[in-house]
Amino acid sequence: MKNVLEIKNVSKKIGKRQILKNISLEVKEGEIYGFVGPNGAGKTTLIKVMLGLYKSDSGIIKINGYDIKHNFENAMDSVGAIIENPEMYSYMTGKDNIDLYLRMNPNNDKEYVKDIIESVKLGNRINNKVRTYSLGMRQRLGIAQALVSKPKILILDEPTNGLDPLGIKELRDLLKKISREQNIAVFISSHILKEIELICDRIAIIDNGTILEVKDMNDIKEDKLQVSFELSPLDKAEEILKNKNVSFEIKENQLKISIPKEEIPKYNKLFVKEKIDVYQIRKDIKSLEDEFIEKTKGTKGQIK
Amino acid sequence: MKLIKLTYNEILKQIKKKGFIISICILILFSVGFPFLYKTFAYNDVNYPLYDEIDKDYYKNQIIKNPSTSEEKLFNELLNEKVSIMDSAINKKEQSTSFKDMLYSEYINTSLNIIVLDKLINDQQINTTNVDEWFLLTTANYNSYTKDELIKEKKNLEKDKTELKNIIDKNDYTWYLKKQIQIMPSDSDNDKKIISLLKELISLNITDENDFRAQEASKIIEYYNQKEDIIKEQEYNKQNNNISYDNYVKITKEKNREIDNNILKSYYAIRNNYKYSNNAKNTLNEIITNNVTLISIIIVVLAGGIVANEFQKGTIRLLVIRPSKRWKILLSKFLAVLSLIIMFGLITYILSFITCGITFGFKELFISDLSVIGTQVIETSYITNTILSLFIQLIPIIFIALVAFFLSTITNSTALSVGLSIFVLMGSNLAIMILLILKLPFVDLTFLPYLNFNQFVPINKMDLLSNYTIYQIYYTLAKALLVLGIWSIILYTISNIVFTKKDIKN
Repeated sequence: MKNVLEIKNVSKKIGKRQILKNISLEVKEGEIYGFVGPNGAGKTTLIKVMLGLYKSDSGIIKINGYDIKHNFENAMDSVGAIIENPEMYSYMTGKDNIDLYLRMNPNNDKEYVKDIIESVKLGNRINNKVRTYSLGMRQRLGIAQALVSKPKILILDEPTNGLDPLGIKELRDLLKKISREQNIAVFISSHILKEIELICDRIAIIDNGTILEVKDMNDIKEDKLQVSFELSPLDKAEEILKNKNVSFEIKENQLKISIPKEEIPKYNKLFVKEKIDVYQIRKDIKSLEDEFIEKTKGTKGQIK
Repeated sequence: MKLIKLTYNEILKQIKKKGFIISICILILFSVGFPFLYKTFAYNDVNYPLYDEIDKDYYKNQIIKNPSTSEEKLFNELLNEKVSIMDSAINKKEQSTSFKDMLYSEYINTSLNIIVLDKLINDQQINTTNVDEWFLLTTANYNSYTKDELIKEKKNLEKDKTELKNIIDKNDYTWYLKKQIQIMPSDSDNDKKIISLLKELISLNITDENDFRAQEASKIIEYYNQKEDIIKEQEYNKQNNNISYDNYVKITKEKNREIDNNILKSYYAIRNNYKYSNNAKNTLNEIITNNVTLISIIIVVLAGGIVANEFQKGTIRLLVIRPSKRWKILLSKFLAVLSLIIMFGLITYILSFITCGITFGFKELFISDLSVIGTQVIETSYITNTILSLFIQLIPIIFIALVAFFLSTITNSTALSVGLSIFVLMGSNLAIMILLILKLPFVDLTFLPYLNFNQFVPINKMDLLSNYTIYQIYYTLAKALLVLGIWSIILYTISNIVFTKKDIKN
């Protein structure tokens, strides 16, 4: 699959602080890419660099194959974005605002524009002044303006800010829908992993300006669990697994393997057959959230 | 194409603001209201009566109750005569003009002299010294006259009196013209020219002093007196002047040429009986200048906010992530300001034109102007001239808008940009004066003398000439355009660099 967004070795210094350190990532066509990190990790800065609001000190950013430094207009043609709070011209109506953005990034599909406005549930308020909108409505209008020009990639910076739980759910559903139906890639940043993990195909965890890990959510969805076996003698079990080419890990005198649930009895039988005493089989309960907190622990301690 | 759409967006963003609607209302109010105000207040010709009741009462109160001597009786008689003439002038509602002043004083003089002569013929012993002093007469001369001579003199004066009475009744202005020729010295060239002008007026049989041709003639006489001889360099340098001799010569020559042109125009008007100047046209000229001043303030507020507001409200973020390079976004903003200047100019012009037409009559507005090419006077379209004048006057508005725009881009503060720009606009004359006091030589390279292009409108040439003297420099429209152009390029380039290079932090 083609990459719609490619970031290679991007660094950015603001003042004396090195905000981004050699960041690299790719987002594939139609993929929902989560970008998670505590406040101050550099999420917004990276998004601003991607959109040309900030100039990067080094590195290459390509959107839809176009370098944003040399081919800004072509690159931006396929981007819809909201950054922080999407501030609109509050003295104009929602429709006026949408029209302004459509004039800058044309999309002649009138029906599509109408559909987008309907799908963000602004249909009956679109001709009111933005001044009269609630925070949630403004956020939804922001998403609408990002979508109306039929982008290839949607870049959303903390879009769940200010939304109530129902709003967050609706946003998730909308993003899932447009990503599936129109093959639009979504790059979504958040400091709350739980809010986005359900819809993401991949999640990158950033802290202190570096990407700590990129997790493919499909792996997790395949239900691979980490299972701990308390065994004796341990070295014999090790040998068996080595011969079978199974990857494992030994921690606190326990053998840890990542396997689907169905295979637990198979391994149990194997150990019993080889005359190894099995004292305990335990599923390690460790959600992605815990992992995230663990990974970013001690840096800021700002994770909710 | 993209630029046009961006500019359209920027204009739309301004138009939809509440402040914009208020500005438009103010502009409409002023351009519609001014013609009525001018009609009501500016052209109420302030007329003073030749004599009023107070003058009359003053002389009435001087009448001696019980005259005993023949001198006292004469005094009373003269007072009565003077009062009766004043009375008739009051009844005729005569206005105080140089013509009427002269005519009536002559008439009174003659009438009083006749009375004195009458008395002298009957009784030569009367002492008229007091009377002379009081009525400003010179009857003491008659003391040496014989009786026959006195009778002859009286007859002459009586003939004069009937003639003057006749002139008063017919209101004949040519009498005044002839009188002027008589008392005019004919030594200098100017005097001779004035005499020939007066003779021309007589030959044209202009009998009404309110005839515009008579007014044009008095303008010509004034112009002749304004002409200046260029003095020699040595003499000029002795006078410790602030303007260099070269510039002095240039300025004086230009001034004399402008005076000559004005004289040519007035002559053309007199000879062709062509009334090219009227209240309607003068009002519209004034109102165009007023409108431009108003527009400049509105535009400064607008241009001072057009970039800064986006930063202050945070809308800049969603603006610069569109597929348009930043220089295009900035340029579109400037083009929007430019379009709005032209739009404001045209709206106010059309409204003022219509209102002037309604208040003063459209016919007056379609009367052609006079222009001079070489020594040839030609008629030129007034409407074309006013539109030209409007656009000339809008040029510095574009510049001052650019100053506000520049400040808006580099400071991101609307208040600061608007405040500073208005300060520059209003304080330019003061700034020039300070530069001159400090004896800084580069006043003409700053934009300060060129913030008001009213001086470059052809009909205001005299203002330009006096500005040369005030600012102690010499400049032309071309130079003003060049200096403003260079400043504009500098300001715009800096704005562009700052806007395209900077990180958008908010």
